[in-house]
Amino acid sequence: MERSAIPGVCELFFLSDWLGEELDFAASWITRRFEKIDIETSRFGSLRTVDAISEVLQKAASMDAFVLHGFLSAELRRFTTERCADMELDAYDPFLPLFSGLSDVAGETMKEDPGRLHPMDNDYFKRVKAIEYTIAADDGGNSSILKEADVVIVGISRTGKSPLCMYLAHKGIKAANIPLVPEIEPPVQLFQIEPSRIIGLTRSTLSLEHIRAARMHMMGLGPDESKYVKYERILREIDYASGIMESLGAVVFDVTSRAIEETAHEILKLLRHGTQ
Amino acid sequence: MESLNLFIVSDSTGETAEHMALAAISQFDTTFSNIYRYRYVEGEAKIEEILARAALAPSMVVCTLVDKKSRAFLAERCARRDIPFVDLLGPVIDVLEVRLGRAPLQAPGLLRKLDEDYFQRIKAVEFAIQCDDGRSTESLPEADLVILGVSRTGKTPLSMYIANKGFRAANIPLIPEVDPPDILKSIPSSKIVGLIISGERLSQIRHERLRLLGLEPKASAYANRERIERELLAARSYLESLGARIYDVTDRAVEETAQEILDFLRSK
Repeated sequence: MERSAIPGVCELFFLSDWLGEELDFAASWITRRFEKIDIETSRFGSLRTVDAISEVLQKAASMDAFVLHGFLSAELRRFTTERCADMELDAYDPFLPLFSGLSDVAGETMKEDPGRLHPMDNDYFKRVKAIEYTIAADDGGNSSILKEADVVIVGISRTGKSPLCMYLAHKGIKAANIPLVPEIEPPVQLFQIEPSRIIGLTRSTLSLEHIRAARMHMMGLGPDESKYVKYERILREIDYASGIMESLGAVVFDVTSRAIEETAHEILKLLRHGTQ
Repeated sequence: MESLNLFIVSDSTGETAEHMALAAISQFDTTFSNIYRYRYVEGEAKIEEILARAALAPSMVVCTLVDKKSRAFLAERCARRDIPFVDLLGPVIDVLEVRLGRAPLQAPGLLRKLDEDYFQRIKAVEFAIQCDDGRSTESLPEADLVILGVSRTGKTPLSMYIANKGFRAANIPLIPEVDPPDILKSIPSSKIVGLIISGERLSQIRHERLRLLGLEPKASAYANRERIERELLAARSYLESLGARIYDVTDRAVEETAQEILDFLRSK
């Protein structure tokens, strides 16, 4: 689905011909400095052809994005730099001063070899990327990177969204989670995600009551003291969440008598079918 | 050629700059003999001091500083001393400041903490993956927490969740026929937690698992009630012998158990 620019938001595009966490670190460094507000980041790794780059730059132009790139290939770097200039895009290559500085100091030309970057296997790398993503998405300022998720988990409190996401990330899936609470509007970005990538979690009212009462007890509160555990309140939350899930077209799982691993495997199956 | 030094100057942790610099360095054969990372750099005097050191041997200076005046000062002093200098992300800050029409956060306080947390969490999660399901037991001494439990008590999700909060968690399954690794005996008992669950609930969960796998639950010892009770009993006595803190996860969300464990870890 084509996403259009959100008014008042600065779009940052990161382009490279390799898949490195370094660009993610840079992206995260930048957004933290602007309090993660009004900045949308999109990452495009493994761009190996000028056509692929052109396509991304076209999109960047349509959204008036600020383009950050870091190509190892001198040819692709030159192409991107020139293309951005032709298209009058704001662009910057944070690696260029590093590469040219190192070239000067070391007195040698750089190798342009992604293989030298990470001496680890792809699976491991994919997993670490997924987990880093899931951490970032769990971080509160999550809505701006929602579009990068392989799957978005929605549900009311105590349905195990966070642990489920961490488990999925552990399997290499970028998972984001959005709590559904009657008092808080879900982020607009959620409604731009394809339904096949949204999973809803629900749980029986009885089991929610148990879990929440136990939680209150742990916090030193009597179960009667909080509307959090009240049956009607739980019903209302479930109703509200069901309504949202339906409008999103999400696949819904009842996690009442399921271990997290089980739900995760069902979701993995679903995602695999979806990509076939 | 003689060895090179890399100086990283940051108003925060400098980890982002270090990662980026290392990625760039990987593209060259030259080895950098030393990488000096100066964290929380503030003030011109401190910058002068760093540069005096950098000037002693062939060096390159890379900075991630938000403050424009400090950046300009550093650039000017490096030029004067003829030291190659890279302002890594400063130009991005400048563009965004104009585009967003507001100033960036400077590094003291909250921002430093955010930066530290970010990398601490990333490292903790990498550790948790590495030490998941009884793998890499040689790394156990570095763990903040070792989680033990029989199959399907939710060790992996719990480890991942706790790692996500910045603690290094390892998990090891307790399997009836397999001896737990010896190294566990050398881990302080305050770092070990055991997960326990009611036999009834575990049997339910395992039934469901077998069903999902397309297997007949009744045909397997895995979901057999008697066998489960024996397994749980053995697990409990082993956990007690280690002096582990034991958590019953029956009817509890992973977040709950995690919260109790986190409270304990933070109180230490």
